Amino acid sequence: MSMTIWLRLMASFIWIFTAGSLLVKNNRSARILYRLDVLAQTGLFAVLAVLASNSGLWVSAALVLVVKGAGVPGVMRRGSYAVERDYSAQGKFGMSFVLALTVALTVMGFYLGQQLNVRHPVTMGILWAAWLVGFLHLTLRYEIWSEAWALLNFEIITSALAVLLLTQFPLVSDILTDGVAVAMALLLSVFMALMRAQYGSSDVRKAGELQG
Amino acid sequence: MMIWLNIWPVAILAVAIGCAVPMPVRWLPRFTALVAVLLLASLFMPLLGLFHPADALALWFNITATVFGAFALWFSGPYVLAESRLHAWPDSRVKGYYLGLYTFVGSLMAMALVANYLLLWVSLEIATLSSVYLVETSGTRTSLEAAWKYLVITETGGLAGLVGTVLLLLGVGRNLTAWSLAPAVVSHPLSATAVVAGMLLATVGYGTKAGLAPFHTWLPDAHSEAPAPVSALLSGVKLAGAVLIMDRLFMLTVPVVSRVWGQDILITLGLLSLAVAASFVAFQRELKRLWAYSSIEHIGLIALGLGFGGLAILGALLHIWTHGINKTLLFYNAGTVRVLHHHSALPSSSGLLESTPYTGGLLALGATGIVGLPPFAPFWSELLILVGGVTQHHTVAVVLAMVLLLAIFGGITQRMPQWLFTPGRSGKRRVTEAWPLIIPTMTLGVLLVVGGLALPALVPQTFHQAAVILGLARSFSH
Repeated sequence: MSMTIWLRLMASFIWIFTAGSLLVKNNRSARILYRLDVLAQTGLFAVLAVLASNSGLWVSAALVLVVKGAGVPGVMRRGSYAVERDYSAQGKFGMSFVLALTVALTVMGFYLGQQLNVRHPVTMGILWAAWLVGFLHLTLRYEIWSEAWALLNFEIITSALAVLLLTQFPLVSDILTDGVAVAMALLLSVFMALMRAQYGSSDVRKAGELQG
Repeated sequence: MMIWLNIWPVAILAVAIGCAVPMPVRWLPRFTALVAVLLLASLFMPLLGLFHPADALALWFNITATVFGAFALWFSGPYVLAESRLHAWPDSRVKGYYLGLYTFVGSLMAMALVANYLLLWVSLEIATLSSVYLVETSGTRTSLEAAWKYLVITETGGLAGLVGTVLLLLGVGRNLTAWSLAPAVVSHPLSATAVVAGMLLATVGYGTKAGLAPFHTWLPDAHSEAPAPVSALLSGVKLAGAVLIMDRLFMLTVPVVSRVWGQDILITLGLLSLAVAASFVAFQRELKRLWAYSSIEHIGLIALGLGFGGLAILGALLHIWTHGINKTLLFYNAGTVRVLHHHSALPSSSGLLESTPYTGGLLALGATGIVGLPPFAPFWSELLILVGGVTQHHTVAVVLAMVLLLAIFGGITQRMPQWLFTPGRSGKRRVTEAWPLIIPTMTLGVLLVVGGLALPALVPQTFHQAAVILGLARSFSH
């Protein structure tokens, strides 16, 4: 297989795991899918490093593996214990509707990838599709754990997209961006535990609307 | 060496964080006062050639971030002492507050001083995450909800902003490692589609961080639940910083797309923000929440000024400063009301002029300033924005803005007497006002009357050059 096909394959894995995390019904599965997403991002960076003969991308790949593969799920475990067995989706729309939207957004993503006139338009299209599906996830699911993993997944897709666009992210910005992901995970995990303790539920809507 | 000369005052906060970690909590208020003095001293270093921000706009915004950062450190001493006694804050929470505040102030200064677009995004992210943490410091149920909402919404926007920034920089053919914010002449063919997509995503991203409508939904909750010094920094500095980064990015697109695109985006978001504020401000019964909606109004005005161009750019830059003074006064005042009366919602916190005359008087002063009445500082900057809009031929937008401003004026002036006076028979008990809480707010009151216009007079060249960076000269040549 050519390297371009590998690149598309890795991007497709990111799309699959993103769509998967939109459908899963518990926190543990979401964590596993996040780790798989991290592996796919690492793979994407590695293939890109070979394709572009860019050794800096190996550093980025290693950083992703260490920071997001081990660090972020480790930090998230701190708050996850509180929601390990909870599932409280009360969505008005069924999964078929969610899947229909996912297909529509995927088509849009491919179209966007073609329009931008940049390198690797197909891979770019797949990643844009994953990005739009990730965004959908943030707006459709209301469980604390689901929103938290959706945000972290969204960060993975965003950073993959940014690196694919640039072929190399400047190292200092790369390290700081990974630091932002860890800080975000830390806050999400603490808030997850606090919200579960406050409301006895993992559905953020139980918190009710704030005044005003 | 040059980069270090551009940014070293940020290191004051980094060192402060390092020192504060092992320090006993009882030392922190005095240590924080020392940090505030050092920050203010750093403002004089350009005179000695020891500090040299990347450009005039960086210097202008750094003055704003440093002055209001120093005020936040000053006010935090008495405020946190009162809050921690009132709500039995453990030592760990007090220390967490100060560490979070140092990080927040440092990141706001970095938003002014860093001269690389990707690092600017990182600075804005650090400001967001540290302020999310600070919003939750009071440990109440509502503050947790507000912090969660703030985190999820602004981080989603922030990630959209990162893709937008990258697409835009790529589209204009810019070197991402460049230590400069100035638009550069590029020789490569540019991708207009990437630039337009980048502009839209940057609008979503930085618009969310700035609290511009329709991306403002996190703002009223976060501003009303954060401790008062944090609310003031969010409103006076962070929102304006995000809009300035957005406008700087739009300036880069000029060789590829018309400048009008960026201006139209800013004008649309500005008018939408005024409309949202006008719709909600009259119905607020909680003081901090009222000022939160007022923040949406004023960030909308700043966006309008930057969008109008010409004279209005001077108005927008001045308004960042005048609104900062006025809103900091009002949030400190609302914090004082909460500390003294244990709440700041109507009807129980009415009659402030009778029970706490200094606090009530300062509220009356701040409210008079924020609605745009002369001779207070915000009046002059708002006037410049509106006159600038007319001279740049945006008459319809100016008329719309004036109608919405009148509605907001009506909303605030209809509500304010309910806080200041007691309906029916008077019988309010006098509450002792602690001077350490009143003096910082009084100082801001003096600045509101004279200091709003003094800054441009003190640094006229910086003021003018900062406006030129945002397109002042180009607007006039057209």
